[in-house]
Amino acid sequence: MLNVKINGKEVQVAPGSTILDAAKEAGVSIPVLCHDSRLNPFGACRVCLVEQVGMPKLMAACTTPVTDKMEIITESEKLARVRKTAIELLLINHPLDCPVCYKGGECGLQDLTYEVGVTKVRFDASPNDTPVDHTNPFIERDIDRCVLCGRCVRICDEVVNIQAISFLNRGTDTMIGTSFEQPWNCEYCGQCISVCPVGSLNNRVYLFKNRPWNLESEKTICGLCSCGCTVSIDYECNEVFRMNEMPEEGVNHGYMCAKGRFGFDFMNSVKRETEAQITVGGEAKKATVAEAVEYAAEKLKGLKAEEVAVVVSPRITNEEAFLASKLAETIGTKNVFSTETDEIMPEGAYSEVEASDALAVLNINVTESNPILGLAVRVAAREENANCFVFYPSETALKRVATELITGNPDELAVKMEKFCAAMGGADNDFSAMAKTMLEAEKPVVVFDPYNKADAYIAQEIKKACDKVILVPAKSKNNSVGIVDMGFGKNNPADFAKGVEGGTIKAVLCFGENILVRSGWSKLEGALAKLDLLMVTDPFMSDTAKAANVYVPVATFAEKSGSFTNLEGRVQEVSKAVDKGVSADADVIAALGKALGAELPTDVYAVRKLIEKEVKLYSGIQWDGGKVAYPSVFKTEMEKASATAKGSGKFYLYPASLRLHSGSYTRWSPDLAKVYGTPKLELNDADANEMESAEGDTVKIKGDGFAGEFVVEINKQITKGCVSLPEDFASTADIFSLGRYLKAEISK
Amino acid sequence: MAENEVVETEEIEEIPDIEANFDPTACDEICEQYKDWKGATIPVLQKTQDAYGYLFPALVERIAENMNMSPHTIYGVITFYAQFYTKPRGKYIIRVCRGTACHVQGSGRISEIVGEEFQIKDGETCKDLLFTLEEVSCIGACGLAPVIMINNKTYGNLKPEDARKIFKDYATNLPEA
Amino acid sequence: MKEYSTDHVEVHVCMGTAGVATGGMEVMEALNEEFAKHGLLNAESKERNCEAKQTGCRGLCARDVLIDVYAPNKGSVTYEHVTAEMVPTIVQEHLVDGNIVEKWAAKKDYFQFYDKQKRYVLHDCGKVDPESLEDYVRLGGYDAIKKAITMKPEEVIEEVKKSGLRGRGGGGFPTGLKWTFCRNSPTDDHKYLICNADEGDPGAFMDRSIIEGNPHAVIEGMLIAGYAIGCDEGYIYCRAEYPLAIERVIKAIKDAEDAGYLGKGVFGSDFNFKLKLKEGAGAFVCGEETALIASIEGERGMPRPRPPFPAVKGLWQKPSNVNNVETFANLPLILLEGSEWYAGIGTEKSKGTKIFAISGKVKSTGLVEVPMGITVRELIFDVGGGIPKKRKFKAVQLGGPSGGCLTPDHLETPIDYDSLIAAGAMMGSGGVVVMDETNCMVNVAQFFLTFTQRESCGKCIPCRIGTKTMLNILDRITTGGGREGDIELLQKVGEDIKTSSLCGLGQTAPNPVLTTIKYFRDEYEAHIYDKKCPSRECAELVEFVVINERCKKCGLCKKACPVDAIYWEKKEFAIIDQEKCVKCRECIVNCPFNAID
Repeated sequence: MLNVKINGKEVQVAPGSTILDAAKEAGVSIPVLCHDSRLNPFGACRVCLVEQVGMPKLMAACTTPVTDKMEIITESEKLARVRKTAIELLLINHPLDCPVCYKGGECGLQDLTYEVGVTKVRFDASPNDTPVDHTNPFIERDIDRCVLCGRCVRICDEVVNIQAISFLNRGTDTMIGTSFEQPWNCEYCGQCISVCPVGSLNNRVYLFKNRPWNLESEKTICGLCSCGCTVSIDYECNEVFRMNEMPEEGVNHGYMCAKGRFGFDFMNSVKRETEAQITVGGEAKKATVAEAVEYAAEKLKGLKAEEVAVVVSPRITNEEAFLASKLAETIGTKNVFSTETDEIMPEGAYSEVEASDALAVLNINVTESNPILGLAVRVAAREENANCFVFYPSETALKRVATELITGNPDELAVKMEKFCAAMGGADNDFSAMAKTMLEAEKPVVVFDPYNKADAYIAQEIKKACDKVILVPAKSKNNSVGIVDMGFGKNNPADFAKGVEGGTIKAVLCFGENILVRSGWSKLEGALAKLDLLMVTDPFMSDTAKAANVYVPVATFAEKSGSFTNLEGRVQEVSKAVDKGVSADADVIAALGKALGAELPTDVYAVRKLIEKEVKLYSGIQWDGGKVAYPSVFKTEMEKASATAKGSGKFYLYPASLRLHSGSYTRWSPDLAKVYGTPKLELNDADANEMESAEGDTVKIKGDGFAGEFVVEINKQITKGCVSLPEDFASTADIFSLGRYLKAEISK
Repeated sequence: MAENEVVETEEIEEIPDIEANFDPTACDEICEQYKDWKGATIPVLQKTQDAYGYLFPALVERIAENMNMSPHTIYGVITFYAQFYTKPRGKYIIRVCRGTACHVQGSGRISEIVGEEFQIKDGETCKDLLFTLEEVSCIGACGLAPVIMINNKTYGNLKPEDARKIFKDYATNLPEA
Repeated sequence: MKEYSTDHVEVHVCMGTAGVATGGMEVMEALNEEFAKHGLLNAESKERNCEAKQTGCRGLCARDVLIDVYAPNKGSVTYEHVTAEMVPTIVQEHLVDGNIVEKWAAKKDYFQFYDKQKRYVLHDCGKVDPESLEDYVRLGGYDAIKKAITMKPEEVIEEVKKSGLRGRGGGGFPTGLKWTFCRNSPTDDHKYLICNADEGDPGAFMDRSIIEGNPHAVIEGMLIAGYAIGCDEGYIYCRAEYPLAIERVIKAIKDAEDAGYLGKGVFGSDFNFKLKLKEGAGAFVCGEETALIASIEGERGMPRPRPPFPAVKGLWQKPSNVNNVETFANLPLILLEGSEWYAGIGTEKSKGTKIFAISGKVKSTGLVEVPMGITVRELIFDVGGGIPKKRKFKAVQLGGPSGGCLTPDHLETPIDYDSLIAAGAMMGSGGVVVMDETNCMVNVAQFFLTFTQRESCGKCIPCRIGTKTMLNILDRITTGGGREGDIELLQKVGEDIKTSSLCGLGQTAPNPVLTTIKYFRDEYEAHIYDKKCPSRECAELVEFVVINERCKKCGLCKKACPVDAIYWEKKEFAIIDQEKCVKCRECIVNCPFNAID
C-alpha cells in the first residue's frame, strides 16, 4: 500500500491507484468531465488538475498514478483559475440553451460551471449552430453541445468494441462522427448516451417527455433478458419515463442494451389491458379479476387434477413461479410446464468470462441474444494475450475481437464444431492449434446456446476433455433459470403439446407465457380452443391471451417486487417502481389458490421464507446477488444430437439473432418495433444479386412442410447459400417448430 | 417556365470514374501486403491513396473490411492527417510554403493570388480538377523564400506578380503533370 | 574526424532539397555531359579523372546550387549560384585548363559563414554521397558502433552521460539519463527505439538536412542507443513532407541490412537490431513523443497522458525511448572522440554543438552548426551575415512556435538551454527566424499561433479552444478591433493554457504571444489604442498614403503596384488612389524610404 496525503489528509491506497482514487478514499471531491473509471485514462478536459507539493507542473488527477509519500493539493488559487478558464473556454461555443436542453438538471457542464464559479465569460460567445441529427432511431445527436470529452467514442471502442463513431478532424474542427458523415449505424446499445456528460447524445425515447428533477428512481433488475442488469426505473405518477443505467453498478457495470434502454416504453403502452375478460361461447365480457378467478376456479373444480396443466413464462419472478408450483400442488397436478427444462444449469459468472484468456463462443450470436454477456466476452477477447474463437453460421459483431471466426452453412459448421470438440479430446485435425490454445489457457470459457442440443453435447464433451473449462449456457429470458429452480423445468415441453393435442389436458393455467409464438407449441391454436379452460395472464392481449376464455391483465417487472435468477445463476431483487392498476401474477395465483382452498402468501418475504425451506438450492440464498450453487451443468449425460439441416432445397435456413428484441414481449415497444417490427429474411448480397432481388423486396420461401413470404434484408455477414429468419414471430415459430436447421427454396 | 417550377441551381457533381467503377483489386493487394504488420493503418492508407488518388467512401469501406477495422476509426485517422484526401485532387498541386521564412517574405499574398486566379482556398480543388491549393508548413527551402511548388517543380524568390504569371502560364499551356 | 580527401577529381553537387529545387539535378547532368565530352570520365590520370557526386546540404542554401571541386592534394574550390549553363565554362576553364573561374568562385563572405561554426555533426554532410554506404564507411562510419559493442551497455550509457549530451529535439533532457529509465524498465519481450524525424517547425530543417546529407550517421547513432538501452527494434518516424529524406533513409537501411550492420548479430555481437521507417502523414503534433507513438500504432496522433512515460509504457505498451535525429547524429562522435572531448565543447550545462536553421531577414540563410554558448549576436551577425537592405535588427524568434522572441537587448545572451529559457525563448529544435524593423511583432505572434492552433490535435480544452480564442483576440487587434484589456486577457489565458494543456504543443503555444507582449508591448498598444501598425505590416491598420516628407519621388512604388493605384510622374510625389488600392502592401515592401503609411 502507498501512503498519500490529499489536502493534508493521509490515506493508504493500492499501487496503481490514481490521484483521483486516492482523493475519493480521502473523501475529497475533484471535479471531472472526461473521466470514466471504466475507460482507459484520457486526460483531455484538464478540469481535474491538481498540484503536487514540490512539483512545478500540474497533473491530471484522473490519469496520474500515485507514488508513495505523494502530497497532493486539490484546491488552490492557481487550480481554481485554470479550471475556470477551461470551463469558460467550453462555454464560448457551447450553446447556452439549458432551459430546453435534454440534459438540463443533470448536466456535467452545468454542474461544473456552477462548481468552479463561472459567472461571466471573458470571451466573445460564438455558439455553434448545426442542425440536430435525427438519423439514428434512438439517439438524437446535437454536436453543438459536444464538449469532446470522447467518452462516447471511447466506450464504443473500449467496451462495446463496435467503433461506430470516432473523433474526426483535428484542432477546433474536431468533432465526433462517422465515416464520411454517414448516419450512425450500430447496435443501438446507447452506451454513448449513458456516458455523455452534456446534452449532445440524447435518448429519443425519453426526449422532451419530462425533466430529471420530476423523476423518482427505483433500483431494480431489468426483466427483458437473462443478463440480469441492475437498472434504475425513473418514473413520475406511475408512468415510466426511462430505464437508466446505474453507473458502475451491478453485474452489468452500468452498461445496458438497446432493449433495456429504448424498449421499456411498452410498460406505458396504451395497448395494455386494464380489465380482465371472460370469453364464453366466443363472446368476450369484461370482468373483475375476482370474477375471472372465480370463473376459472369453478371450471377447475369440474376437472380431474391431472387434466390441469400449469404453464409459466420465464418472465415471472421466482416468488411467482414458486407460488404457481404451490398452486399446482394444491390442484394436485404434476403437469407443470415452461419452455425451459432443467437439463442444463448455469456455471460461469461474468467475472470469469471477463477474466478468461481463451474463449470459445459456440454457435450463438451472444452480443445480440445476451448483450451484456456479449460485452463480457468482448472485454476478455480484446486483451492482447487472450484468444477468442467464434463459431456461427454468419459473421457476428464479435468479428472485431475474435482471434478466429469460424463460419459456414449449418451443416459445415456442425462438422467444424465436432472437429474442434474432437481436437479438444486429443484428435489431430485442423482445429488442433485452437484446441491447444484452449487446453493450455488458464481460464478457458465456453459460451453456448443451451436450447441447441447438438451444441450442448459439444460443450459437455469439451468440459469432459478439459475440466478447467467454465461453461456459460446463455439462457434467454430474465428468469429462464429461476423458474426451473422453482420446479418448472422437470417436464419436457413436448409433453405439454402432446397433452393438449391428445386431450389429456383439458385446462391450462398460463401465467405470462405466449404459447402460440413458441416453436414446438405454435401449432396448438386449434387444440387450445378446445380446452375447457384456458386462463392466461399477460400485460398485453397476446396471441395466446386472445385464445383464452379467461384473461387477466398483469404487471410488468416494473410494477412488482420479487427476484430473478440470471444466466449466471445469480439471484437478484426486483423492486416495484410504479403501479398501473393491474395485479401481479402473484396476486392472481394466490387468489386462485384461495378459491381452491389453499392459503398462499403474496408477501415477497413470506414467499421467500417458504422457498428457502422447500427449494434446496435456495436455502440460505442471498436474495440480493447470491449465486446459486448448482451441482453440475448437465443434469444427466447429454446425448449426441443431430444438427443436420432437414428437408431439401438450395438454401439453409436457420434462426436469426434476436435483432433488438427479446421474445415477443418487446414487440409491444413502439420504438423497438419501429426499427424492427416484422420478421425479415436475411440474405447474402451475392445471393440477392443472383436472384435479382433487392432490400425490401418480398420473396417466397418454401421447404418441406412450410412456406411463407418475407421481406428481404440484405446482410453481407450472412454466409452465401444461407438465409435466416427471426424465431419467435407467429409466422416464423411455426417454421422452426419443424427444426432448428432447415433447407428451403427461395424465389421471387 | 411554369411559376412554381424549381430552378436547379446547384451543379450536380459528377462522380469520378475511379469511384463509380471502383475496382478493389489494388486495395486488396495493398491490404494483403500489410496483413501481418502491426499498426499498418497509415501506410495502407498512404499506399491506397497513391493507387487511387484519393480516399472515397467505397474504398474506405473496403480497407476497413480487409483490415477488420471500423471504417469510422479509419476515417478518424484520415481526417486527422493533412496528407490524406477524401476528394479528387487537381492535376497541378500548388503548394505554397507557409513556413516562417516564407511568411516574413510575404507568402500570404501568393496564396491570395492563387485564390484570385482559381477561386480556391487552402485544401480546395477547382471545379475543372486542374489546380489544388495546399498551404504547407516549411518545405525546407527557406533560402529561396518565398517558395512554391507546383507538383514537383519548385519556384523560389517569388514576387507576387511572378507567381501570377506562372499560374497563368500553367492554366493556358497545361504542361504534362 | 577524418578529413575528406580524394584520389581523383570529385565535383560535389548539393542535392539537398534546396539544391534540387534550384537545379542541382540539371547541374549534375551538365557535369556528366561535359566530363564525357572532354574525356574526363574514368580517365587514367588522377588529375583528369573526374566524378560528379551528389552530396547533402552544406548549409548556405541561399547560394545554391553550390558545388565543390575536390582535386587530389589540392583541397577544394567552391562555386556558388551554379546553373547548368555555367557548367561548360567551369569544366573547360577549371578542370581542363586548370584555372579557377574566379568570378563564380565563392569569396570571403562565403567563408565568413563558416568562421564561427564548428561543424562536427555536419562534418561529413556535403562531402559524403548520402546514398553510398561505402562513402560513409570510408570516413570512419560505423566505427563507433563497432567500438560500442566492445563495451558493456552500461558503459556506453555512462559515456553518453559523461559527455553531457542533452536532447536536441527541444526540451533538452539529458540523453544518458533518459536511456537509463528505459534500460531499467522491465519488459517481457521487446523494447523499442524511436527516432523522431517529424520535424515540423516552420523555419526548421536541421533534421531533414542531416538525414538527407548523412543518413548512415543517424542509423549508427540508433544502433549505439539501441545497444545501450537494450532495444531490439527501431523506427524512424519521418515527416512525409520530406520525400528525399525518406528515400535516402530507406536506401540507407537497406544498404546497412545488406552489409549486415542491421539485423541479427550486429558486427558479430549478440545484439540484434531491426530498423523500420514509418512515414508521417502530415501532423505537427506527432513530433510530441506520445502522439508519435500513437501515430506509429496507426491511430490519430493524439498525445497520451504521461505518466506512464514511454520509457515504461510506450509503443505497444512496451518500454520505448524516443530521441531526435540530431541527438542520434551526435552519438557516433561521442563514442569515437570520447566524452571528454565532447564535454570540452560548449558551456557548463550545455555541451557540444547545436545545429540551427537560420532564416528570415538575414543575409546568409541556411544551416549552421555552432558550439553551445555562442551569443545571439555572433549567430545572427557573424554567421548569418547580419540584416540585408541596411535595415535594423528587431527581433529573433528562437525555438519556432514553441519558443519566444528575443530583442536587440538580448544580443549578448549565450545560446544554451538554460540561458534561452531564462530569457523567455527556448532552444526548441533549432529554428532561428530573424526579423527586421518591417516585421510587425503582433503579426509574428499571430502567425505562430495560427500555426499551432491549426496543428492542435483538438484533444484537450486549453489547447483546442484556448489557442483559437487567443488567435481571435490577435485577429481583432491586427484588424483594428483591439479592446482595452486585450493584452491582459491574452496574458492570463496564455498562462492558463501553458499550465493546463496536456502536451508540449499546448504548453508552449502561447510563448510567442507572451514574449512579444513582454518585449514589444508598445506595438500591441499602438494596434489597440492608436489603431496603427508601426511596422505597417497589418494592412487594415495602414492608411496607404505617401508621406511627402520622406518620398524621394523615385517611382518604385508605381512599378510595384499590381493594380495601377499609384500615380507618379518624374520629379513628383507619388499619390495612391484609395479607391483602386487593394492594400496588398507591395508599395510598402518596395519603398526604400519607408515613405508610405
